[in-house]
Amino acid sequence: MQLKIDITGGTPIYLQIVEYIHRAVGSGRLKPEDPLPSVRQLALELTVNPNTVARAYLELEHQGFIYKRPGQGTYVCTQAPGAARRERNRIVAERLGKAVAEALQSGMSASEIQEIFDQVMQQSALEAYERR
Amino acid sequence: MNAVETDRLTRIFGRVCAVHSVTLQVPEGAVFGLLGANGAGKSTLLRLLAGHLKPTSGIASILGRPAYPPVPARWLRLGYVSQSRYLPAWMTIGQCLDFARAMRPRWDVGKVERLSRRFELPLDARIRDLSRGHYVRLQIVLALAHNPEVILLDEPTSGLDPAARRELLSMLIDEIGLRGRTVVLSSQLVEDIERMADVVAIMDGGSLVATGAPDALKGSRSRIECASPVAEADLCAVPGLVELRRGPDGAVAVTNEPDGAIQFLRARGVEAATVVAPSLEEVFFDYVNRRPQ
Repeated sequence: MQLKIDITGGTPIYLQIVEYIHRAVGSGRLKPEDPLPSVRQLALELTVNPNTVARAYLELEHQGFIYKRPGQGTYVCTQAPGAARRERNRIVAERLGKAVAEALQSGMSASEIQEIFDQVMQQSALEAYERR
Repeated sequence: MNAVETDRLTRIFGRVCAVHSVTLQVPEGAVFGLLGANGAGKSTLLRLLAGHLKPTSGIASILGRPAYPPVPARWLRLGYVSQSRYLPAWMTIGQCLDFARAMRPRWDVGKVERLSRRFELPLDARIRDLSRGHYVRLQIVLALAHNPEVILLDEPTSGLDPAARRELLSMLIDEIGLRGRTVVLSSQLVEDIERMADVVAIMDGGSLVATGAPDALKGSRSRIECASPVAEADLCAVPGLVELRRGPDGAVAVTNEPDGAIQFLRARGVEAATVVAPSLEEVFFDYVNRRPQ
């Protein structure tokens, strides 16, 4: 896995693993029925307590992202990409919501915010085009 | 069941109280991380748990029995890596392993060979000539050779280079993965503790000043950050307030009830308030009152 555990921030390690799998599924790097490393393997790879990896896997299982095949290992669920997209949308909505709340609090009007949003979108589209 | 337990454990040396009324519980299978600066009392606490020291008062129990006095029935189920260089300096590593094997009925020959190979232990080298890295590795082989249920590790990673540190932690992860292993690990390095521990205890001046899961400890020192200025009176009334810090960018409230604090501020019209969880390192400095300025 390309995951680097960050211990300088406040995000719990198990959550960093959960979010990494969300992103990997959302971007298509992990596809339905792809196998995940075993708890022990991932713990060794990331140098973290195996109990922490087990906790992340349990959380992902509850969320319907992964499932266990008894005696075989852990795999990505069929419905995981849909769930990952919903999760991504939720996070984006939350972050945009925060920015909008901040803007409103500073006294901006809805149309002023909309104008900035449109500019930002145009700018990103332009950058994406230039990178091609 | 708790594999390791203490009740008001105290040890006084002369006029110095090295361990002061420490009460802790480590459930079977958990990794307990003991975090503290030099002189905080970590080594004394571990020596008490290992039964190498008699408590002045209070009690330490290992697997349901008193740690002191150390009897074979107990220390055969215990692995202890101490900080001091106590192994006989004149022996070679090979002689030392044979010597230890003679005293331990549950010696796992295959495991000792495997670990010795992995650690590249020079069996002919004399203990007096060993580097810090090789000495710690030998201690770890000795501590794990009889597959103990409780493993006590006193700053095993101190003095190791990053690669050796990583290797030692990996070896430990392998061991933790085995069922029913309980580990007490002390370190000055917050990173080691955060990576390895299920429960963290912060030790300062001989006492445990905070104990909990790493995430719970971080939650207990959540910072409320507001994008826009907030009346200080509102911040002062935030639920669970533990500290109010005044800086150039205004005041920051530190709370142990982050959710309640956000709701409280929202109800007062402060929309752009967010909770920022501190790193374990910041939490550590908060508790030992040595915050770097």
